[in-house]
Amino acid sequence: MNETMTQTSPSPAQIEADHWRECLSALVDGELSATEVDGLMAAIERDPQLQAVWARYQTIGPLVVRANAALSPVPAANDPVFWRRWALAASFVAISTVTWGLLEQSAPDSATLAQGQDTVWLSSAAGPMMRDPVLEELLQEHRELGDGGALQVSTGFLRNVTLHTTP
Amino acid sequence: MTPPDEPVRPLPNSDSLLVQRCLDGDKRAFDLLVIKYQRRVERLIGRMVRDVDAVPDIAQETFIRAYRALPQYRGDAQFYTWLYRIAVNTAKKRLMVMKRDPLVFAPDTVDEDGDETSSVWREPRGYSADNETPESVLASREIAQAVNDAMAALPPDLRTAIELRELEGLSYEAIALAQGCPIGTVRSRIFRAREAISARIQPMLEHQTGKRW
Repeated sequence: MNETMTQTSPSPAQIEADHWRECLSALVDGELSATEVDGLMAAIERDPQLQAVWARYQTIGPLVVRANAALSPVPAANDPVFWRRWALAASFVAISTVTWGLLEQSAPDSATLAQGQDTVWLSSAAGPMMRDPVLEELLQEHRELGDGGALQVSTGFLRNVTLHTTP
Repeated sequence: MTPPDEPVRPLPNSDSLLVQRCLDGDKRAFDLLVIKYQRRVERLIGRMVRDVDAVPDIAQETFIRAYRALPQYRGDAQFYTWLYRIAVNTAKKRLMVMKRDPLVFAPDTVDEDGDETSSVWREPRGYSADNETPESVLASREIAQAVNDAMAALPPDLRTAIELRELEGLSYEAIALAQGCPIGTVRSRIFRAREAISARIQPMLEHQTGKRW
């Protein structure tokens, strides 16, 4: 399969230049055969520009890696800023869970909270999101209560206010 | 995970090939090693000495010492790890002569691959971009964007090949298996991908010579 990108047929000199540049590219990756290295060294001696090509190719790899990392939405595992933020968020979730349980007075006992179930990762439009399963259960309970008694209390409260404020 | 009884085959390494050629008397191979590592060695030395003007000199001395010591290189460490130690020792000796208080960088922060762990995004003090400017940060972002644009503009086969090589570190053989094509095709694809990326970013790199990238 011909994968050549050029439209016009290249000159023999261009073909040779491309061949040695391709050899340099393979040498960057340590994939050049010993026999080709012999020819390449002679070519470099004839054409010092190939040394500049070698230098250029050396920069491509690190640039690709850096560019990929720089524009990646997922933080690097060894990024200390990411882990500090993660720890802060985890602390917030833990404190919120305990506080929520105390306020509702229906939270599971401390032994239940301390059991430490596995963290759940959910995908969202803003990226991966960590959810605490205990918190999820409490939120579910709250939603269920909200559909019934809690909502009725609120409407009753509103009705009472209406009655008291109507002349 | 690799089973313990299965031999681990190291990835091909141009350094060992070039070192062997040097040992066989081919000085041109050492030129390629110098070109490959010169900037990295200068960055390392630049973090150790305050005298910016001394950096190229110490780097040159490092390579001379490395060339002379090459027969003692046993190949049990990566070439850059070995070169790194020579550079650090050369810089220390020079600093003792200069009798300054120069160490601004702990030279033991090198990992097993020979990379200075503190140098991922930093350039040497005073030697290039330690005093990073908003312009240099912007230029770096522009280059990163240009590289990604160049990658995105590549035909899918070329993009996959270069990604598997540069991001995943696969050998040509493994890439050939992954792409279902001959190794020669992989080699050609990676070459053309490099040429395309290079053409896209070369003007920016020339503009940024001596700076962050």
